[in-house]
Amino acid sequence: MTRVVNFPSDIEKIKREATEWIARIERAELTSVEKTELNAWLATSPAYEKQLTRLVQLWDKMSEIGSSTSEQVQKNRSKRKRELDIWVILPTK
Amino acid sequence: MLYNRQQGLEMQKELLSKQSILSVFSECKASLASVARRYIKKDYELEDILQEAFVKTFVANKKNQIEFPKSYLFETTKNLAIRENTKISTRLTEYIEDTSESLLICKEQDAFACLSKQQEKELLLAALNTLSKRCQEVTKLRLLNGVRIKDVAQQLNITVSTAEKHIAKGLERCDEYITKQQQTDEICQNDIEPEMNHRKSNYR
Repeated sequence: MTRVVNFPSDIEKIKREATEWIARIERAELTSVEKTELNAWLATSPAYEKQLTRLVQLWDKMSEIGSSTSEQVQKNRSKRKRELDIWVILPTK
Repeated sequence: MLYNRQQGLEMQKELLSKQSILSVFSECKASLASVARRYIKKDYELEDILQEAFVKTFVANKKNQIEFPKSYLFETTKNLAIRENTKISTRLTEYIEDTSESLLICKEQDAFACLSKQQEKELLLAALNTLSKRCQEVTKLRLLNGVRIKDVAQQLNITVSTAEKHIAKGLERCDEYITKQQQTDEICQNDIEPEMNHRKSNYR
């Protein structure tokens, strides 16, 4: 039977467990035992799936700022380089 | 003798513009692939990354002539590979037995829908900055630099399990911070709206 989750403390627990699953996936490939555990965990109630999906999306969004930050660093680096490279002195013959 | 370097750069720019992005891409495709392989685990992701890097460079060049297409391609490939490497939804789909219901197919309502890209980035960075020093170090190395957990652990001289715990805690705290911020914004919005309506009715 599906467990009904209503209490905030339950939600907090689910959130914590969802972040632990995300960290576990981040660490390494899941073993077949872990995969079974994850699927069993998800099957507990729709609330589990909901929290995992939400937190996965948040994690992916945060990883996107990583790529945009490095793109910005590259842009700034090129801009600085251009500013410094305006004049050079070449040896005379 | 003084030369204006700008003239040299202009000439180089002209020369490079003649070279199509495609030929630069074909020329360094193998090296781009090896750059991407440093970050990704699955070979099937490779072709997508290379294609996206090409398209991004091509579009950027069309918009505004890129001075050094080769280095732009390498940087874009690296960034895309880092992004793919950290994308948890990509890996999660492999583990879920029944995705027909909702997971990752039916997306949760986007909590950031009302924010601009810049506001979203600021909120996420602010959330990351609230984390404790070590937790922040671990999370930022993983998210912003794309360093793998075991390398993060080695770099910071902590165990892999500790690094994993920091990742979980970091995400939990960031989520709490963002939820709180959004609730505050909603309260402010609700406070402002009746006030605005009141003003409007007074002007009628």
